[in-house]
Amino acid sequence: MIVRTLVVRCPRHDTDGDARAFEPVVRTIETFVPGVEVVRPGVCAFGTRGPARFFGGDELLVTRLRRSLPDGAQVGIADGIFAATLAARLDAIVPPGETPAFLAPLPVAVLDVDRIGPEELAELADLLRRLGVHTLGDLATLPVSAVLERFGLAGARAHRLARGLDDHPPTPRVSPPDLTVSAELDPPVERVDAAAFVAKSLADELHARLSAHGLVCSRVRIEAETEHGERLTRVWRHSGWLTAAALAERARWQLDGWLHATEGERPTAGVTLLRLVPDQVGPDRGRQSGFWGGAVADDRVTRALARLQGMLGPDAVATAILVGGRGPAERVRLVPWGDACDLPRDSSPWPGRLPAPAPATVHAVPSPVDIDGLDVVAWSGAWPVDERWWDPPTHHRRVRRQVVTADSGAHLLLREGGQWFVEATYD
Amino acid sequence: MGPVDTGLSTGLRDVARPVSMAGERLLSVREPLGTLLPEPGLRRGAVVAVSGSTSLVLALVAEATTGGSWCAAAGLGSLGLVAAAELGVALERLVLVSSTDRALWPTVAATLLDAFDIVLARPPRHLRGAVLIVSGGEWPERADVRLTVTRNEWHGLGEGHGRLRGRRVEVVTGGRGAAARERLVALWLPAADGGISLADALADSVDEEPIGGVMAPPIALSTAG
Repeated sequence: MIVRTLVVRCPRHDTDGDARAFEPVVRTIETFVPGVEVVRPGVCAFGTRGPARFFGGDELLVTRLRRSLPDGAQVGIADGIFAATLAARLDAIVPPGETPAFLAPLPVAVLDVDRIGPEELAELADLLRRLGVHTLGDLATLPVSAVLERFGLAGARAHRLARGLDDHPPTPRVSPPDLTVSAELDPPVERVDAAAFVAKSLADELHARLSAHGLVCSRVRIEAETEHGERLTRVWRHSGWLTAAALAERARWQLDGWLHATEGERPTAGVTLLRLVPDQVGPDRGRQSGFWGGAVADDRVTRALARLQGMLGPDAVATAILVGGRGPAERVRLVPWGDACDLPRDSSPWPGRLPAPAPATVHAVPSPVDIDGLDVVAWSGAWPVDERWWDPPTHHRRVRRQVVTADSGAHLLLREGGQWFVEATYD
Repeated sequence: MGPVDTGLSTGLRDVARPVSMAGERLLSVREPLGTLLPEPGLRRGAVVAVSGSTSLVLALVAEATTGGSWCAAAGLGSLGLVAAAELGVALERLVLVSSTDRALWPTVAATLLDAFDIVLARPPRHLRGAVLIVSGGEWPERADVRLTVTRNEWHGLGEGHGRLRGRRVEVVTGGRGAAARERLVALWLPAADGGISLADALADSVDEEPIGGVMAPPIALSTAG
């Protein structure tokens, strides 16, 4: 079910460093609407069902809300947070059920709006544009299977969004109490960096606990208590699943918001307790459905990989899953460590698939080769390569061949536009 | 960690490292690959340098991963993952780490060796620090076990017909200690049925020519211990 959602954007506060300026805005909204979730600094959202009924409809809710928002704030309502974020940019209220029509004419570049989605959407939007898929409507009309095959997980997400469905609809589930992680701070901490440091290890711990249960978290409640007994709490949500790094980042933003609030709003004493409560968790479908019953990493592995992701970036650490496709590279999708993945698994038989054994080396970039200089002693017939379905007029036939060369090397060659390439090597 | 009394410390060591039985120090390998190694498995802490065949590397780690061991592949961007799955590697326990920053390489390797049961790496050339990842010795001369594919013969492909079906390889094993005596083992990798089996030695003399194709630098297979 798509949740009818209201999004508030404060463009002026829409930078990572501005979590502290945005915090008072959220606090104000919270005084008359329950369940406000921060998406990122400058953007927050809440479900409108209750509030709209209370205030007498979407329009009246927006009118009431505007009175308490700073100048320049934008408000939008639509079905699902993605569409609502776009509606906010246009200050629009999209009537119930009309979200797909609202989205259709928008350019694919909006997939990356406010970076609420997974990062690879920006790259994907660029790719789609170059392939002649200009609007969300264009994308929505493509068959989902083709999009999945061509663009993998990011494509599937984008396709859902373009059709007006929320990315990763959460599977609410009551969180087992032992998943909450907390740390007592002694002495009390007043500095953001010190508190954020503690939050980082809490985030790692929470993530490890979730993994151990085969769960992922899409919404986290960050709670703090001060020496004077003040209790601070704020809910953050994410349209992808929250990785350890994403959890830590949100905790840091929130602590920045609290500890740098204006006089009167700021806690009067140092933070003595920090707690991360997974507010919405769901089964980690990607890892649970593994053939071997899911791989639940032990703490050492989890910590090492979190550390490497911190050092090298989240995408530098990945596991592979096999999906449908013909060639050796097309059948592999890399899933960044900590991301959930709900791609359908390998769905053999796949027409035109290269027969086993597969090459043990698949060159990252196929290298052009002069086939006459190769000294080929044996070769296969031609296998067709997946066609360029998005571009029928200009598509030219590409083929693959296995060859064995005089030096006993075996390779998979690919011909495109009259040029042969070494795509993979059977070594 | 703070100091602990001797009794507790001994107790902890027993819990953390119950390695008195030889079998537990070994990560199992699928048969008949045990014949390539001085012991019938991969010994924790050992460095195994494999050259000439990525398939052999994948085949060696397959059984450990299905048995629950975690394997990391660092800087092996061209690893054939379909082949890995075909050879029996549990892909969900094979973590791929890519790093373009060579300066970070020693840290990456050290982090992985600390946490993973098996680390596959191809140390960048001209980087002395890379030696760290393979247990501090000279590399690859100081590998505990060296496996070199010296001969490679594909079957199933003709002149414009057929397809690659089976491959006979000859592996020269060498190394230190128990592995020091060089042996030549012939294997089907894979056999026509997709499995791995011992092959008969060829009647003709061993070809001294290096195998061709794309010769990659050796891949070090390092088991943390």
